[in-house]
Amino acid sequence: MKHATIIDIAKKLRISPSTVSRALSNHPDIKLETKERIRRTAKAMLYSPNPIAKSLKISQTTTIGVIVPEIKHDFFSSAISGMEEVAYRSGYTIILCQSNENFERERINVETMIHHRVAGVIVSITQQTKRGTHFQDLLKRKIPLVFFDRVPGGVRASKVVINDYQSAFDAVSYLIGRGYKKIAHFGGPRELDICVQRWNGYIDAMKKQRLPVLKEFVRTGGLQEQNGYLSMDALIREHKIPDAVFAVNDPVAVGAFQRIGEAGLRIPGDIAIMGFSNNRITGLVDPPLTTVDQPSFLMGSTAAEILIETIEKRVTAPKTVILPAKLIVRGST
Amino acid sequence: MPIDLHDSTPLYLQIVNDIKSKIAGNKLKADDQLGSHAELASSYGVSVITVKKALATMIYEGIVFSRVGKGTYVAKPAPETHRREQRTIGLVLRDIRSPFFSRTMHAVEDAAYELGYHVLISNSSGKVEKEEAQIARFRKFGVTGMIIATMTHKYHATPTIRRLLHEGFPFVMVSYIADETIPLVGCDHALGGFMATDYLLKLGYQKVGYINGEEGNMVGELRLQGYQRALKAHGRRIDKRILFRLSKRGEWHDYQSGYEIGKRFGKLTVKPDAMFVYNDLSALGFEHALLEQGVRVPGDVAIVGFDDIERGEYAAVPLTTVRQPTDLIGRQAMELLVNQMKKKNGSIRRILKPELVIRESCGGARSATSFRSPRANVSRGGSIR
Repeated sequence: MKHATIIDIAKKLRISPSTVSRALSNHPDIKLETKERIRRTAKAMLYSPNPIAKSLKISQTTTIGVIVPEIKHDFFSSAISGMEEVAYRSGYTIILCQSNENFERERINVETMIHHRVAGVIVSITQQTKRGTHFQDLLKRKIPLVFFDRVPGGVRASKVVINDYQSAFDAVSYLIGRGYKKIAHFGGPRELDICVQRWNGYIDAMKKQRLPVLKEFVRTGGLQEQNGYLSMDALIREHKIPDAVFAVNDPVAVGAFQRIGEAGLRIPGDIAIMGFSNNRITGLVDPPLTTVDQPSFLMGSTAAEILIETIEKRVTAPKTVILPAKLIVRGST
Repeated sequence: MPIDLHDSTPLYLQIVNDIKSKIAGNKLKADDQLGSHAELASSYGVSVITVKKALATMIYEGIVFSRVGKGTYVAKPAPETHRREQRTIGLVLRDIRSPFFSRTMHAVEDAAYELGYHVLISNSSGKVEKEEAQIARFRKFGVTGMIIATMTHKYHATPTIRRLLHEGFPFVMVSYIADETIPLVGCDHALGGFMATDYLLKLGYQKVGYINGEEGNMVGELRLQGYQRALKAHGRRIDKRILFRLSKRGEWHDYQSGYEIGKRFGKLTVKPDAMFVYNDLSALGFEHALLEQGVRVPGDVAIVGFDDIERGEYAAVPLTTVRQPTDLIGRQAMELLVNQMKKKNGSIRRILKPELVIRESCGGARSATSFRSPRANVSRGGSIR
């Protein structure tokens, strides 16, 4: 006997499909006797939810919205893959917005997600995001929210992060252990907590080994290649050559890399370089770049798991998950 | 009536979306009266309760208003500041990691946000079924238009895309499709092939070969046509012995396919002195194989690829390539989409010129002039491979 559908049951009992659907999902509005009558009929008619339909759910209420600064970026695209795996498995689909490191756009993206009634949102904030008031709009409407990697202060939501401070501390300690003393740091924007954490890790590692942190060697800038290039350029022009550079991320490291090569200096012979993130480019440069591996896929899948848990069980207590990040030593240090 | 009882989107929302798209498509205009509750229930095949819920939602959003005792009417469009609420376009992507698509999408987004549209992105992840589901989902979401970068390298549109066309739903393709009734903004691949080949011939290479895309790859065929046209223009004959094809394995295996062809270089009866390769990925694989065998690039074989991927700059011998005008494609795709949404007439197909990016692998430039930053003296010390 063919499996019955909600429509079949509705026809048989001469009630509307929405009533049947609500009864089967235990909606409070439906009377208990009605629910029971419907369930009995459903059982007799061999009703079961259609698993194919469930996995192809093309519904707003089973769509997860994801807002990231840039989807092409290795780290984010890998995190999104992690989210997709978990989402698809649980019958959810993903819709993306990229904020392009622009605060205003991120704000609009949040509005878009609300307007399209997504079931929940996963976010990594832009370099420009100083306050999290637009995220309060989601919380007010009880839309589940999870942050990963770049997290705003003052927003009560779950987070999936790595221990940026400890990873940076360990990475710089490794450099010191290799004998480097004049270690420069090309840091990221102070608005981003991950950058502040990496900065602090660097400072503390230097202090612990009683190494001076020289003002000229500590630079703040953006997170792109050209920022690394320009920071390195400034040092070279000022004839202040460090023996190692710890960059806030791989693109900045690669930018510095380029400038060092142009100056005819050798890596690591003259200057060692270390990045952070383990982007694909680390393997493409010569010598390959030492870096800290961020488990991006796992971050994404974990964020999606927490979000779905929150959506389905209506768990409201936010949780923070800290994933391990490994130092990957290659030829540049 | 487009109410799908097997879809788990709540029925009232399906009704809301249906009415919204009728308004967006001008089938319902301001001050038009929607039917009575009973009439709507009957025509959608749902209960009156569901109808009431749909109407309540739309009243809340300001899309319709009701007059006591008279009925429910379509509201006038809200003032500009609230307009953004109802204007979302969907971007259906084949692969978020592809440099072509991500660059194009950035340009689309910039144009869209300038014009006050919201943008949602969906990712096909390489599965056609998922693409069809995404297109369906975007429609149910109530997007007012779509920009689509489709799955297949073949030249016909999928049934889903045909249906969009048939139903008059505004969309524009940014990946090649041969069918000229389908709105497209794309790169002139044939011209790109011509430019690459012509350049190599002008540099004086005598035996310019071509590595084509896999069997059935229409874009590869277009580039082949350009290649052939350039040979003819220089009075050269086409030598099939220096025509190759990537094995049919798909985008993420291009590097390997190019590499395999490079490995056979030593055994070729006729060796090309220059090679135009279908795309940068396969060109890089090809280059790698040649260098491994001690063949010099460009000394023994010059190489030109296509796409201008990031890796090309960092290759052992930085890759000369053809760059697709992604900024223009993105911007014009958005313009074309707006025309579609406003039902303006005009050309639905725009094919734009690509440009050559000259780096070391073609032997044309003495010093490395990469597109982005000067990279002279690369070989000293910490060389950037």
